[in-house]
Amino acid sequence: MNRRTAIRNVVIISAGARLIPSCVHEDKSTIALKNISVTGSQEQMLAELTETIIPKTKNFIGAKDLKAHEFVLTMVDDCASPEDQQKFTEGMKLFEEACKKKWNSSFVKCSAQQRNELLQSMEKKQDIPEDALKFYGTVKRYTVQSFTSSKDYMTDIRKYKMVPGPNFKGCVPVKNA
Amino acid sequence: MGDNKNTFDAIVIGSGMSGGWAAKEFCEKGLKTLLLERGRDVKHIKDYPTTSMLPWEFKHRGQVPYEIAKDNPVISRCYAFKEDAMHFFVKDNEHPYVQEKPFDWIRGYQVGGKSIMWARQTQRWSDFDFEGPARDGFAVDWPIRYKDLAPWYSYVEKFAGISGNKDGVETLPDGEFLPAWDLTCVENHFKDIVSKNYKDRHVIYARCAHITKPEPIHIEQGRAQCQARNLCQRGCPFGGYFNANSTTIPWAQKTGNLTMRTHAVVHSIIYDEVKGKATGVRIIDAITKEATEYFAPVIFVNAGAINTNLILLNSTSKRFPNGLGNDSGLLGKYFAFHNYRARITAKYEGMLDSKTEGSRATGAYIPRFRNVHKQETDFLRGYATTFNANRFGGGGSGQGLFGEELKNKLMDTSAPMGPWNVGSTCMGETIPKETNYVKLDKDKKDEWGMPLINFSVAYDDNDEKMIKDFMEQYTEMYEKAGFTDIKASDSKQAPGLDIHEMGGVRMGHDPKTSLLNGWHQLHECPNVFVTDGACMTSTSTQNPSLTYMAMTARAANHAVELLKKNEL
Repeated sequence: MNRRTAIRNVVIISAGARLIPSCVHEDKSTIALKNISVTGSQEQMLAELTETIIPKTKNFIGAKDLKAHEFVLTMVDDCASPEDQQKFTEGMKLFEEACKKKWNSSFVKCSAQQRNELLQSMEKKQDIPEDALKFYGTVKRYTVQSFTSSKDYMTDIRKYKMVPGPNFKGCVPVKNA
Repeated sequence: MGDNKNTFDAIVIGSGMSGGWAAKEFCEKGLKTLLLERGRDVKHIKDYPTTSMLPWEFKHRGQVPYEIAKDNPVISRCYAFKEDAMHFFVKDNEHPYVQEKPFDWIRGYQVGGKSIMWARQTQRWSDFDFEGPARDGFAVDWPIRYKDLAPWYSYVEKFAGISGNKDGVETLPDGEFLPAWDLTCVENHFKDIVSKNYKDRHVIYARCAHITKPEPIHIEQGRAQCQARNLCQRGCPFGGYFNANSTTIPWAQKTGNLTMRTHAVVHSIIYDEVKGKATGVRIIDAITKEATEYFAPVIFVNAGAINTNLILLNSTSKRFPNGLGNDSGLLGKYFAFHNYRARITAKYEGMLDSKTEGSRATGAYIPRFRNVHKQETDFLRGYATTFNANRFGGGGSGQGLFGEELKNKLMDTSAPMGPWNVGSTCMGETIPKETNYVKLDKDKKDEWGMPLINFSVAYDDNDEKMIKDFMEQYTEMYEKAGFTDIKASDSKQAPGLDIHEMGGVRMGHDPKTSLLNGWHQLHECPNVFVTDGACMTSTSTQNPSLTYMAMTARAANHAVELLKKNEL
């Protein structure tokens, strides 16, 4: 490296350094959203939450494989009313608070057992603020939709055929399971 | 008159369900035909952008984004306005209109019009329909009867491809049918129960515009057997159902006689006071806003019922200050539609050892049975109904579950199936009235300088009584069939959402009480024909598109005869 280049690089690096701190602390989500704002840690939490709802198992993909949390955010961002979007982001905070209250830890840092127990109380609606429940309900609904409308699920499990063909049968016996 | 390049043998305004037929008939008979379309071109297959998209490829899995739904409340109420077919519908804010009374105006401004997204049900009318106004004393007598239209029904059915059974039901004449799909077990069960309990009620297969088995004519059109994708609203890569884009328009184009002019907003029809007839059409280019005139000795108006009224109302001259052919003052009046508000659903816990397999594009149909031979209720006319019975896979809800338990439940294909789900929609005839009308708004104009249409169309007491009767009769019929959990509902939807708007330029014998004669010619300007929904004197209960097609083919062939004899 000659001197001129070295100086230029120093200038670039220091210019960059002035910008870096704000970036580091901004904690931005990776997905582009138009209406709601979600932090990087919230996005991470959402990914873990969807995976807790539909986990990867030995034989079949789970929510993270489908990036279900991105689908959840896309649907809330594009298809929910501003009021529901606000409830969603507030509910997300309340969900995280409910987790802290129960386990003194963020959802991401909770053990699988702790996450399961939290969702157990969500399902039983035990001692959980309403907006946190609503948030959980929204995430669960879209996670299930992401899963059941995925290519893997529709083709492998439901044998979806885009072109069913002309041979409709109006009355066939149900095979005994 | 205009220069040669703007002069044709025939002009057809509108390229949808009926206009496509007019263009086909004229071109086949050797007439140089100009087909005007206010929207963009949609070429078969090439311009169906979503036709082969898989469910998971839709960003919102079919749902319409909130902003679009909020900005377009009318079109968002249409059952087919979903992520996969949104691009074929007119958004409210693109083409506003005025609602003196609420009217959901569902539109598709493109080549093919709404024939791309229609519901494809094709039931013939009978004389019980054509003779309705005369017998029951409403509207005016139809100047035609079933026998006038019967050969033309056959003509269009053979070309379009209609699936059906010969049922021998007098209220719903049989036609030229391709094979029918099966009815389901429970549809057949209902058919048996109904025929045992009511001698005049028939559960039959709902005839539909699908090629269940292609005939040589369909292969010649480049269309193939329907594969029961049930994604018709996107446009079909097989051409399995009838739309203008796959069938009538390419057929017309193949003759070399068709000139298609898209982005052509028809402003008015030009009337020549000296000749005493219409000489052409004035258009505004949708993009450049430039005005152009086209000329022809015969003009077919197939702009869609409401826009056909708009064009005629806007075609004013010294001779016709209130709109073309409107000496009677009735243009825009006696506007009617179908009453689709009521629905009934239920479950059936019988036949649980049976299910269906595969997919089909129709269901069952019950022709009108009320007031057929004589007046027997406290309301006029009656209703036809759909009937569908299907059974879906089990699995159930994931309520209360998450994690592996939820996942297992979602993936369990051995879970027992649920009961049969059955349902019927009421399709009621409405009575055309002078007080139900469309008119030009006094003040408001669109960006092409056209006055906006103002709607004053509403339900009446007859419609309310009919809904009540449908609910009572179907509750009784459903109970007799052993259905449970019977729920009747009234959507209270505004007129228009049935997408069967009709009238305003009605046919009749007398120029004093009607606009069109028995050949669809304006009484007072006989080289202008109207063969879309605007021409309808009464509405019957049947889905009207097949009748528009038959009427158009009949009228176009008559127009060709008149041209030959120099009588236009």
